[in-house]
Amino acid sequence: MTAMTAVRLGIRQVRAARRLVFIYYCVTLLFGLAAALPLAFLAIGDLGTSLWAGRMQRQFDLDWIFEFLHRSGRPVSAIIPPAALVLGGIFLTFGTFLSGGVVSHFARGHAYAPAAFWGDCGRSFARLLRLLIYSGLFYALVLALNISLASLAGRIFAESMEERPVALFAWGRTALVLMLLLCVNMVMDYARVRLVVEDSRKSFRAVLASFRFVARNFKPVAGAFGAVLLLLGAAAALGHFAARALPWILAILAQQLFVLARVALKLLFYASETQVYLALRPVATQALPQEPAPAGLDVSCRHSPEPPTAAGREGAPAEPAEPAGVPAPPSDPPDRPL
Amino acid sequence: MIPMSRIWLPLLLSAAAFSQPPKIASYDIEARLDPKTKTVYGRQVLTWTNNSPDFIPELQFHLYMNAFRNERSTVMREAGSRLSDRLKKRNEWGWIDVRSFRVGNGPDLVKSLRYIQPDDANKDDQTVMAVALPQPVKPGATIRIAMDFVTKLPRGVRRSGWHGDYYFVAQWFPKIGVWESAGQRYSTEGRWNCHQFHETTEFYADFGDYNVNLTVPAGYVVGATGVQQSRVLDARTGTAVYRFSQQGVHDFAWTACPKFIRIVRTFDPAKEVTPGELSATARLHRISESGARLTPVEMILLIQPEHAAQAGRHFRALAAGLKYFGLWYGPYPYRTITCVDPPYGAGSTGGMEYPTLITAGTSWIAPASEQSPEMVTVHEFGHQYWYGMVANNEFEEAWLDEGFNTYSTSKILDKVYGPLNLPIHVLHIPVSGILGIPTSGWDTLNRAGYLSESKTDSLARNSWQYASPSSYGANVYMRTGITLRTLEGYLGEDTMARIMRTYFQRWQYRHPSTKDFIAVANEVSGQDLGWFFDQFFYGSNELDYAVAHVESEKDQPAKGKYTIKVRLTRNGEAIMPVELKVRLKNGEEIRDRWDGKYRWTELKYVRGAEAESVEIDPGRKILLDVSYANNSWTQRPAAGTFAKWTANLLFWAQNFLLALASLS
Repeated sequence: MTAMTAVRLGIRQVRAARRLVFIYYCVTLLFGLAAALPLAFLAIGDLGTSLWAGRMQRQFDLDWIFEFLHRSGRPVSAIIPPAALVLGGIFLTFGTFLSGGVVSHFARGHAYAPAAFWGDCGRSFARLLRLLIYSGLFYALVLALNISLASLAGRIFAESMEERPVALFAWGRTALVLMLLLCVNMVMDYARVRLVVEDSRKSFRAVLASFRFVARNFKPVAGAFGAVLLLLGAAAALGHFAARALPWILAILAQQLFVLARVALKLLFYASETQVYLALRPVATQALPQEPAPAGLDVSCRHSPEPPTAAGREGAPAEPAEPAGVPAPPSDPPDRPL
Repeated sequence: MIPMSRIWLPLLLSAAAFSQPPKIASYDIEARLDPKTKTVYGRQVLTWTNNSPDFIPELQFHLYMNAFRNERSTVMREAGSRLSDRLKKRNEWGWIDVRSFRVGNGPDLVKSLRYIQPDDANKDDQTVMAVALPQPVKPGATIRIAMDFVTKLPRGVRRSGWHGDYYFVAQWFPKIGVWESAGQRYSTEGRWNCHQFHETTEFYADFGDYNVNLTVPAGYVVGATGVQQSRVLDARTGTAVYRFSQQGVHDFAWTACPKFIRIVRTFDPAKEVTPGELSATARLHRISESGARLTPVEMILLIQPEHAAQAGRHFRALAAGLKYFGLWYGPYPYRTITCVDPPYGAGSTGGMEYPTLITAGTSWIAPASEQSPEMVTVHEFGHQYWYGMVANNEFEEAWLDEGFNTYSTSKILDKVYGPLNLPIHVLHIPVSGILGIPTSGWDTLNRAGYLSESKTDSLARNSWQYASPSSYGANVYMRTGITLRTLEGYLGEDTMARIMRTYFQRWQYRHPSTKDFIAVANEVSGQDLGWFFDQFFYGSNELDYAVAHVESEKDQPAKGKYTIKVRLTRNGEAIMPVELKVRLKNGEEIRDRWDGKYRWTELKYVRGAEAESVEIDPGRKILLDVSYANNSWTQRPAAGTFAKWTANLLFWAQNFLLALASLS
C-alpha cells in the first residue's frame, strides 16, 4: 500500500463518518466554550458600557490588556494556567476515550453505529490511557534531549561574538526536536491503532511493536503521516489568510470551518494510519474475518490482500515477517476479531 | 498683562547658551590594555579644584570596579547569585587596585587609603575609597593628585568588561566624588557625595577636561569619549597609542575590538532641519533663529560585522536624537558622538551612556518595526542631555535623567518612527507580527511598565532603595515618563516644551535636584504645581476617575427637553482636574471640567436629546489614570466587539485543545 492510497482511503472513510466528525467537533466546541466564555465574561465585565470597547472593534488596544492585568492580573494569571491545565487534562482524557471508538470504527469499516462506537470507546479506554502515560515518557525523553542540546549550545557558543551561528544551531536543534516529536507522535498513533485493532491490553508492548512497525514500514507510514500533516498546514494557511482578509463575522465562520477541518484531519490521521496498519501489519495478526464493507467504501486494502513481503510493502526492504504463531503470554487475552 | 517671566526668560536663556562647563575634576590618564590578562594598567593625574567655601580634610573616590571583586560586594549581595555565579564559575572577577597616591609632590599616601561604606554596613564593599589629606584643601584651591592603578576587567557585567576580544572599559579609573557645600542640592553642610556602587545605581561626578592616552594592540579599533587627537603605531611592541581629549564632561569610557567596523558620517543641520522647524522652535521659545540653530556633529559608529547592514538605522537614530534634542532643549555642544554596537554575548555592556560615547545593541534579525537599535540609540543619545550635561545625582535622583530621558525619547520615537511591534523573539525570530499582536506607541509601553509597579514604590527614592530592580525600572523610567506626559497634558505642549528647555538651559553643566526642576516648572507655567509633584513625584497614590452613572430623563414640564445626569467618581486617592465630553443623540457635544477633588460629583444638563456617550479625559492626556476602561459610558455597548473577542477566544481554545488532542 502506498501512502497516497492510505490517505485516499482515509479521506473516503472520514467523508463517510460525518457523524464522528460532528461528535468530535461538538466536544471541541463544548470544551472550547468552557475555556473561552469565562475569559469573555471577564472582558465584558471589565469594559461593560465603555466607549473603548467599540473603538477596539477595528483594532485591539494593548493599553486595555495592560490595565486589565493591572486590575485583575494577579488573580487571573494565578487562575488561568492551572485552569487551562485541568481543562486540557480533561479534554485529553476524553480525547483518549474517543480515540478507541474512532480507530475501531475505521478498522471495522462499518457505517456509524452509536452503540458499537461508544462500546469500543469504553473497551479501549483503559489501555489507551496507559499508552498516553507511556507516551509521556517518550515525549519527555525528546524534551530532555532538547534541553541537553540547548545546554551544549550554551557551552559551544559561550564565547561567540556572533548571533548567527547560535541562531542557526537553535533552528537546527528545534527542527530535530520537532522531527523527533512527530516521530514519537506517529509511533504512538500506531501503538493506539494496534491496541484497538488487535484488541490487546499490552500498552507498552504495543509501543515497542509500533516502533518496529514504523521502522519496517517507514516510507508508507511517514508518507501517510506527512501527507495529512501537509493538508493540516494548508488548512492552517488558508484559515490564517481567511481570518485576516474577511470581515469579522465571516472571519468567525472561517475560524469554525478551520476547526472543523482540523477535526476532520485529526480523524484522517487515524483513518489513514488504520489503513496502513491493516495493510502492512505482521502476518501473525492477520487471521481476522472479513466483514462486509459499507456501501461505497473501497476496503480492498483493508486487510491487506498483498502478502507481507517486500513486494507487498512498497519500497520496504525485503525482510522476514514477524514469526507467525508466537504464543501470547497467559495474561494477554487472545486478539478479538473486529 | 505680560508676565515678567516672558520678558526676562529669553534673556536668561540666551545668556545660558554661552555658559561654559566648570573645570572641577580634570584627568590626564595613561592606560595600557593587556588583552592576555584582561587588565588595564593606568596612571592618572587628577587636577581637582575645591570650588566650595569649605576646608576639605579628606578626599573620597569611587572604585566602581571593586563591585565585581568578589561575591561579598554590595552589588553582588543585592543582585544575588545570578551575577556572582557567572563570574565565580571561571574566576572572571574584576577589581581595581590603587598602587600609589600622591598629592602634589607629597609622600605616597597609599598606606592610608581606606574603604568606607556610606550607604550600608557592608564592610566587604570596597567601591568607595577615602584618604585623609596631610592638610585640608582650602576654598578655591586646586590640587594635583597622581595615582597608579591596575584595573582587572571582569567578563561583561553591569555595563563594563570583556567578551572575546571585545572590551568595553567603563567606570574603570579612580574617580573623585562630588563635594556638596551647604545649600547645594539637599546639603545642609559641606559633605562628600560619594555613594557605593549598587545593583541599580549609576553615577554622579563633577565636570572637567579629560586627556587620555590609550595603548592597545595595533589591530584593535578604538572608540572613546571625546575627540581622537592622534593614533601612533609602535611596530616594535605591536601596539597603537590613541589620544583622546574632551572638555566639559564628567566621565570617560572607551572600547576596543579588532572586529569593529568604523563608519563616520556628519550630522548636517542644514540638511536635517528645515527652515520651518527652525523658525517654529525660535517662535516657541522666543529666541532668535540663530540661537536655535544646530551645529554639525561627527557621528562615529563602531558596529559589529554581523550588524553592518543596520548601520544606516543607527545613523538615522543618532541624527533624530541630535535634531530633536537640539531643537527642543539646545544644540549639542560637542564635536563627536560615538555609538558602539556590542557583539552578541556582551549585552551587559549595551544600552549605556557616557559623555559623547554610547552603547546601543541590536540583534542579527532586527525588523525595523520593532525599533530595536533605534530606541536604544535615541535613548542613550538622550542621556548626553539628561545626565551628560544636566548632571543630576543618579544615585539619589535617577528619575531626573532616566525618567526625563524616557519622556523625551518616547516623544522622538513616536514622532520619527510611529507605532512599533513588541520585541518578542522566539528562537531569535521576531514573532509579534506573525502572532498578529497589534502595534503600540511608547506611551502604551511606558504606561504598562508603570501599571506593573504602580503601588510598589513612589517615583522619588534613592536608586538602591526601591523594592526591586523591576520596581526601580518601572518607577524611575516609565512612571516618570508618563508623569511628565500627564503634566504636558495638563499644561499644554508648548508650556511643557518651554519648561523642559528652560530647565536644560539653566542647569546645563550643573547638578540640579528635583526641587530645581519643580521651581522651573512653577516659574515657566506661572502656576504653583506643588499639588502635582507632591502627589505624583513624591507620592504613590493611584489616579482613577470613572463615569459611574448616566441617565437621561424626559423633562415633563418642558417637552422635548431631557435632564441628563452624569455621575463621576474618584476611585483613587490622587486628585487631578479632569475634562468631560458628553455626546448627545442629536450630535450635540457638551464639554465640561471637574476639579476632581471630592469623591464624586453629579453634573446636570438640560438639552434637547438624550446622552449617547460620556467620556472623561477624551484626549487621553492623563496617562497616570490607571483605568481608561471606566473613563467612559455609552448607551450602546459594543456587542460586536465582545462577539468578536469571544469567537477569537473560542478559536484559540479550540486550537489549543486540538493541539493537545494530537497526543491522544
